[in-house]
Parts: sequence; structure tokens; C-alpha cells
Amino acid sequence: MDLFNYDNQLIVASLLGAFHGTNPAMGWLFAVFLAVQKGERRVLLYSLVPIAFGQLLGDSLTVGLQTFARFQFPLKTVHIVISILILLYGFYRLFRYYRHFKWSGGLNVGYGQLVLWSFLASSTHGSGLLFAPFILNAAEITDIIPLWFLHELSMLTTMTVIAMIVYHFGIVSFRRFIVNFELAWAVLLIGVGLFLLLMNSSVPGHVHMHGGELF
Amino acid sequence: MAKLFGTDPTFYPSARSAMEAPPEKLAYVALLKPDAIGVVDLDPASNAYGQLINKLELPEGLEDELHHFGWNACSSALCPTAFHPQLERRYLIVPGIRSSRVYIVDTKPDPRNPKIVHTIEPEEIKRRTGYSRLHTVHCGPEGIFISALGAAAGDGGPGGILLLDHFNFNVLGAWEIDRGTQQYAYDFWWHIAHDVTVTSEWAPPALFENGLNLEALLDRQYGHKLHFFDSRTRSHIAEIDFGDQHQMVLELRPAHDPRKTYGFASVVIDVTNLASSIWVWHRSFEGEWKAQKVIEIPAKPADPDKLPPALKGVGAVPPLVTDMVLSLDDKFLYVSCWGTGELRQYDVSDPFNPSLTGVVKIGGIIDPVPHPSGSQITGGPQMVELSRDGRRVYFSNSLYSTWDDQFYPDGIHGAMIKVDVNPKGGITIDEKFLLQLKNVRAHQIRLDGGDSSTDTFCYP
Repeated sequence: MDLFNYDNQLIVASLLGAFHGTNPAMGWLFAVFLAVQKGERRVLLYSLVPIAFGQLLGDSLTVGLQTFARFQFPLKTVHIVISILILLYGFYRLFRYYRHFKWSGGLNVGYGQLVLWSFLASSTHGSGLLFAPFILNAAEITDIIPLWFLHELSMLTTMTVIAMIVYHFGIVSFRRFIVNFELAWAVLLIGVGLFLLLMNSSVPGHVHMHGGELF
Repeated sequence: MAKLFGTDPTFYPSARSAMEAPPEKLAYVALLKPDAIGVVDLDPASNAYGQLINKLELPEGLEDELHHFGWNACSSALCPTAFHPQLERRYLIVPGIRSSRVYIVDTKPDPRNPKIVHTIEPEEIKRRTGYSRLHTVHCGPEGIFISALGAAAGDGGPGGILLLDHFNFNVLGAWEIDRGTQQYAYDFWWHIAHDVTVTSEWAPPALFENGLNLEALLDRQYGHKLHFFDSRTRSHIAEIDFGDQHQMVLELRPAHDPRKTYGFASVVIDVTNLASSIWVWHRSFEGEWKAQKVIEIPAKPADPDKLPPALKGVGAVPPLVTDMVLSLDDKFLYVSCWGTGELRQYDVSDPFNPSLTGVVKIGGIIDPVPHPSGSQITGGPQMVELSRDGRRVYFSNSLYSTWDDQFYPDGIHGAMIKVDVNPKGGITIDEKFLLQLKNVRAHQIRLDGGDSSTDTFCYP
């Protein structure tokens, strides 16, 4: 698959979004929890909104910083720095994938706290980091926006669908299907970091692909 | 090796779903003098059914005094903000109540042959938490919670709760940020979905380590309050005083249904009439914590000649309610009366109006009732545990070394007894099941895969 093809990038961005949405630690489980406490399905949908919004904020922070660096500093430097950061964070998570941030906001939360929780869950995962290949490859800021929009939409859709299925059939049946997302996430981060480093060193026309605005 | 798929199969999202769990095959039992963790075969298909099949001797032998213990992880690992699918129910967290030492006992790969894999020395507990004399263990969200009855130095308070890391067993420190009026400690549990932690009061070590201090009891110096903490800020939010004639507020059994905000607390003795009582705490419509007495079990008058020296002056046997367990469907409450030698079953479907649905009599301070198999039993029903499906109760017969000697001066030989439960109400002792341990005492019983007093469930 040609990853420099924009259509393919759209597909990859949505797949990454779906992967995010599937992780129980990123939101749908909390929505199911709140809905079963109240015994109302609509609580499920109401709580997914702040959860998705928090994720969006968490992603925006990382994506925004990377985009800023991408268009503000020499591309080659930014590319190497981001690749190494992703790789380091990937290895860090590989060795402590089972840990997550300690939330002291409790379980009896309001919608505002849900936004905060979700923001922390997403930003401490470094979720926007997987966007680096798109950002580094984008010629214009406007290239990034549709990718990002699709990514978030796909995440929200996946989360909603899974939450509704689990709410309907009960959590017991889903215990067996819980994948070790945190480990997969660490491996994915390392993979993307390596991919970026290789892309940087092995593609001679690298700079041209990003457009000629630097020269 | 990291687990790639699925969670520990013994974790259940709700108490309701945990009732469908397969029956227990093993029990771990705290043994005293010398201290050990005993393994009892509970698989009816096994040749060794009902027998002690292994004994993990603890290296310090006598100084620890095993009491309560618990699991490193349980169903709370499925809670949404503390989701830990990598954890497994594998290690027993075994504190010495006297020594303040903690053993981490690994029940895998062979659950019948557990091994000590790590020991936390008393100095470390004391230095890092400021506490000593460890008691209740709960596998909580984000860590292992242990209550401590005394301060690090001396034999006074305050006691409280300390935290261990549930991945590497590092001692993380004291849990409370603001303890408010709470000084005495004993049991604790929580209304997890409401972010509320409840704690109870026994006494500082000076008042229990050398036996029950009768003068202090009549002087009403033992604990008589419940405390409520905000689990988020770890701050004291309320206390309920049962009145100082209600001495020693021990066991706390909140409803397993996380939507509910009520629970049961037991009081050992009312100094005005020697009765034991059970109280229901609940959060009122206005959000205030309240409690009321719902069960009173009276003392039984007795011939002073038959009574041990500690009770001669009062001429009666107090029931001494010292443990209870609530079934996972919040329907039946089992109450052990260690003094009068009874295990009682109450239907608590309506927690404010319990009804007595079953009693078995065995042991007791005077005229001890033998086991239906004919064997004589010393002590009385004490630590009680219930299978997850609510069908089998197991109990042991000793309380705490120095108190055992006061109330049962002729000595206690450890016993583990099984009671069959009629799901509609009613209990009978299984006459074919009796584990007897000569000169060894038995205390808390934990069932493999979990029981009715280990797990916290986040989902209703």
C-alpha cells in the first residue's frame, strides 16, 4: 500500500481512530458503567459526547504541537525529533503498558469531569502521536484537517457501537474479548517511530514529497 | 509473560454475574501456633475432600499471628477508571496482625502448593505508612488496601488504611489525607460507585493485644463509631456515633450492588445488657449518612460456676458477634455468635427489617454443642465465609489468641465447618464435613477464585 497516497492515508487515519475507539480504557467502558448505574440507555449516549470531546482535546494538543513544529521549524529536524520522541515513548510504554494515570475524580462524575478524564486518558496515551506520519507528510495544514476529522469520527463511531453492544449484551460476555490494548499500543508507537526513522533515511526525495516550500 | 487476550476469568463485572461462578475447589485458611497458610481441598470429587492437603509454614513461626488476609486483585480491576485487564487473582496478601509483617504468597502455578515470593518487613510498613498491626485486606481499584489498627510507634493510635502497589507490592504510604475525627480503626470497605469509604472502630493495640481489658470496656473506651470518607479526596466527611454503650464496631458489609448506599455494621457488646447488635447505615434522601439498629442478639443468663473468670461477674454469656458475611445478591446476612456458639442467617432483602431464617448451634462458652458427626468442638463460630453462589458457608472457631484464652480458657483446637444453605432460607451443618486441627487454631478462610467478602463490583 502506498502510504504517500492521500486516499490511503484517509483509510489508515480512520483505522487508527477505530483502534482508539475499541480500547475500553479510552471511554466506552466508562459510558457503559454510567449507563448501568442509572439503568438508562440514553446516559450511554449522553456520556459518550463529553468522552469524545475530551479525546478530541487530548488529540488536538498533540496534533497541534506537531503541526506547529512541522510548519515552523526545518522539516528534517522536526522529523527526526518527532520520530525519536515517538520511539522513546513507545519503549517507555512497552515496559509499563499496564500502568495508567491515576484518576482521583472518582466514579460518580459529572459531564465536565468526564471531559477531563477523557482528556487525560487520551493525552497520557500520547494518542495524537500516531498522527505524526500524516503531519510530516502534509504539504499544507489543510491536508491534515480531513484526516483528523475522519480519525475522530471513526473513533466516536467505534466507541458508540461497542458501547451499545456491550450495554445490550452485558459485560460478562466481553471479558474474553478484551485485547491487551495497552501492549498493542506500545508496539504500534514503536512501529510508527521506526517507520518514520526509516522513511527519513531511506527516501532520497523525502524533502520534495513534503512540497518545496522549504527551498 | 503478558496476557494478550481476556481478563482473569475470576473477575466478574457484577455480584450477580459472580454468583454464576463455578464452585470453589480449594480454601486457604490462616493457621496459628505456629503460623501457616493451610490449603483445604473443597472439591467433592476429590479423595482428599475436606482435608488439609498442604501447609505453607511461615518463617517467623509465632510472632506474626495471622488473622485476616486477601487477594492482590479482584473484580474491581474491571472498574472503568481503574481498568486493569492485566492483573490476575494470584497472590494472597497475608499480614501478621501482631508483627505488622506482610507475606506475598503466590498461588500459581500450583494453587495447592502456594509459595512465599516476597516479604514486606514491619520496619518498612511502619516507616512508609506510620501504621502498624495490619488487619483487613481489600483488592481495590488502583492498589491493595490494608487497614492498620495502630500507629507505627508504641501501642496507641491513630490507625488507618495503607496502600500497596498491586503490581510490585511497594508500600505506597498511608491512604488518608484528612482523617478528621477518626482515630480508631478496624474494618473498611466502600460504596465504590459513590466514591465513599466506610471505616469502623475496634481499639488501639494497648486495649486488645494483651486481651480484652474489662475495666476499659466498662469504662466504654473501645470504639463505637462509623466513619465515612470521600474516596476521591481521601477526607473524612461524616461519623456516626452508635452511643458509647455499643462497644467495638467491627465488621462492615456494604451492599454488593454498587447502586445501593447501605450496609451492615456489627457491634460486639452493649455494656448495659451484654447484647450484640447489627446496624444498618444508609445515605438518606438529603444525602446525610445515618444508621439504625436492626438486630439485637441478647446475652444468655448462665450459672457463674460454668463461666470463665472474665465472665463470672456478669453471670451471662454474651453472644459476641465478631464476624458476618453478606451474600452476593444482598439477600442473606450470616452472623457468627462466637460466645453463644451460633451461626445465624437473616433474610435482609429489606435491610431495615431483617428476619431470622436459620440458626445452627455448635460450640459455645458453656455447654458446648458437638458437631452433628459427634465430634466435640471447642470455640464457637467465628470467621465466616460464603461461596459466591451463596450455597455453602464455611467457618472457623477462634478469634484472636489472647481473647481466645480469656473466653475459652480450656483452649481451642482449630476447626473448619461447612454449612449448607437452602436458597429459600434455612441452614444446616454438613455432618460429613469437619476439618479438625489439634493444638492449631484456624482463622480467616478464603476460597479460590473469590468468595462473598473479597471482591468489589463496579457494575450492578
